[in-house]
Amino acid sequence: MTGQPQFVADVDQNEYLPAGRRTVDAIVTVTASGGELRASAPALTAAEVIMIDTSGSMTMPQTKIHEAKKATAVAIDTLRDGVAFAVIAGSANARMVYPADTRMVPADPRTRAEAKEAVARLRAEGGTAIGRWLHLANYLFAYQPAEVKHAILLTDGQNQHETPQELQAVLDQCEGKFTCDSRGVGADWVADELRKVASTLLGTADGLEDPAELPAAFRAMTEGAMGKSVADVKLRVWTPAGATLRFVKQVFPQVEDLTGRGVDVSARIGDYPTGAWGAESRDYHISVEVEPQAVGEELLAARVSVVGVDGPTIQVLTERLVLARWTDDTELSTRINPQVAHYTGQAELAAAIQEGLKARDAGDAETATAKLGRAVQLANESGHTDTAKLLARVVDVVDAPTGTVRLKKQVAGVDAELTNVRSVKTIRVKKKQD
Amino acid sequence: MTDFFCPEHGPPADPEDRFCEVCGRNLRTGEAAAQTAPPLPAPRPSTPAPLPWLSSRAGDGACAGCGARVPAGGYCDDCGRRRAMGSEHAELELPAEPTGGPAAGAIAAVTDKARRPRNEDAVAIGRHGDTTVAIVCDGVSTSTRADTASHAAVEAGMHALLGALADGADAAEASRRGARAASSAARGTGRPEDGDSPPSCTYVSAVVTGEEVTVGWVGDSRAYWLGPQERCLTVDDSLAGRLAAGMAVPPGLADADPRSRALIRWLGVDADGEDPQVVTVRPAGPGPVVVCSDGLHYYLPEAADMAKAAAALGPAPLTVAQGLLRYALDAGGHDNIAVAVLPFPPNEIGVQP
Repeated sequence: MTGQPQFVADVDQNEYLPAGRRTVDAIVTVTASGGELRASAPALTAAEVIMIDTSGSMTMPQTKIHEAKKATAVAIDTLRDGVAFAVIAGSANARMVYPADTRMVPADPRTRAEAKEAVARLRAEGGTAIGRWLHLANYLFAYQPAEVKHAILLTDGQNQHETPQELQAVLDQCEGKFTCDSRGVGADWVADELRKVASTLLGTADGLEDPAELPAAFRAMTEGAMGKSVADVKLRVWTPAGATLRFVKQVFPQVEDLTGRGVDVSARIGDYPTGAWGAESRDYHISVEVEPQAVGEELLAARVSVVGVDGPTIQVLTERLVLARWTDDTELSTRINPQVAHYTGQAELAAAIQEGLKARDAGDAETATAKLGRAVQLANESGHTDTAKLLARVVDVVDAPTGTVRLKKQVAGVDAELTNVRSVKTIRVKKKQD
Repeated sequence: MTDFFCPEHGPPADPEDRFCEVCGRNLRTGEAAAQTAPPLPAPRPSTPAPLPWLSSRAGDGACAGCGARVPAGGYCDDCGRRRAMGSEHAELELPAEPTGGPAAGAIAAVTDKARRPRNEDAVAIGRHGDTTVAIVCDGVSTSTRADTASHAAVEAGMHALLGALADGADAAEASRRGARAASSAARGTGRPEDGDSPPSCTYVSAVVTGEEVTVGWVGDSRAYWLGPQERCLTVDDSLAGRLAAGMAVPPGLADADPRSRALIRWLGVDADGEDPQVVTVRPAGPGPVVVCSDGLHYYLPEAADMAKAAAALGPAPLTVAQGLLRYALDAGGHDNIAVAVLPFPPNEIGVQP
């Protein structure tokens, strides 16, 4: 079929287990193929909502609101003709910036110009209640038939004017309705909040150190949304009778535990959401506990497929097997798969950073030092230099290989938040060529 | 919801099932099926029209773990166990063609897993015109998924060998082409992660024409001529086999135990890829050719003993093959057994020497 995106999956594992062993781990790499995907695939219909923080703090300094307006204009210019869009101003409430009434309009030269004019007139005042912004976006999307529904959320501060429960309730309503990339700017945004939004709405979260980076970031996020050519992709995992799926995690480009997000298709099969795909590649770590078999026996521990969902139609895009084979040859069964080891380390790295920072905020210096020390050690071992550099802003590294660190006395708030929000970003290990 | 399951074979494929598909136990009462001899798997139904060739590859069947229906070589959709390629027991027969023109006589083959958990032996029989062909491959038990190698090899070998005969190649050349195709098919079953033990198997073919018997082999599966002046036509590819045949010690094996029966040649990813050994004989009179794996010749190594056993079993090739299989099972059946019987000359339906 012409124009159909090509999905390819690969499995990396050591399928040999010693007698009695139950746990089978595998890394599944899913790649939606490159140039052809974007060039020949029919463009999906899309809808885009941009939420910009217009709380009073956006004027401190003025460059924040100034760059945010510029960035929004860039995002508007990046929209394809015909893409439905709207701009929302967020403070303690949410307000339509463009169009003026509660709806979305198709992008064309006239609406783009009008929208940019409206954005230029924005003034910053009031508080921050992210849940209300998302609630309005969800309302706008509900009337859109578009295949790809994407939102951008920009904030500079803590979600002060609603409770965490209120935000959670809105996120629950929005889950599965649209995807959302969130960005923090300035010094007062909270990594945990942005990660929660990204996690629930299958998007990315990041902080920008300099407001001047905003236009480029907005362009990249909008281009990413415009480049999606498969709207709704799920990872379908079959496991045998008597098996337990320990976890399903996305491990590249960022760690995202999908285990609790599975929807049962049958007693053996669960579907895990992965959102929309463009030309890209992601890695998943699947861990299954199976009933051990006799030495010499072989078991299908999991069948992993990538399925495209289009209304009632489900199409299997690619499929791979995860095997288990019991052997008394210890040379085979003790071999450590480098991919599994690498991503186990990357997931531990993310957890160590998050737990370490949490302990530090709670004043538990001992736990914080241990966790962040372990994080430094893991970042060093895996060659994750970006994360190592961020960690060096919150701890003084005495010896990276052993993870010996001292907590810094003075840490800029944004450094801890940046380290936290980026903790889930992983790197790939260079694959061994056969 | 079902709370009913078989204590030996687990829950039924369909929760509504009243009986275990595997053993027939009543799942409601837990009562075991009436104890009779375990049913022998039915032989593959023979088709009246002569087929070019048949193989012992299993069709769809019940999963050994849970009884669900699984294709051969596939994984059970319920419990995940792999189903072997090979039939636990198979009987193949190409019947004599109706009169009119050159007619090939009946040829037959049987295979059984014996006391092994699965059958890694594979056998195929076929014919081209009045030339008959049998091939046996024995999966090397220490290798991974050996049944995939033996079945891929036996079928690719048969396909290529018959194709070569159709192209006008002589029996020796056709035997070589068959073995080469089998070699690449066995190689193709290997996967990068198989490590030091990729799927591998032995290979032996016999081509019987009105004048000659040609055998080609790699490994220690054998072909016997059991007519006048019976003899084993193959030389095992092991150090002991080579030495017993008066051949030189193969390079690199000077220090090995001269009694070693370990394979020195096989088919698979890690094989040498060299051509098979090929031998052609012109029998002095009619008689049977037996092609078999070591599951049989372990118990009947000497051609004279094999000939005596075959002669006692009667003329029909299927009866001879069944009888030899039974002999090996009764003698212990320690390994998978595959045996094919071809009369020489091919239009002699009786194989009585």
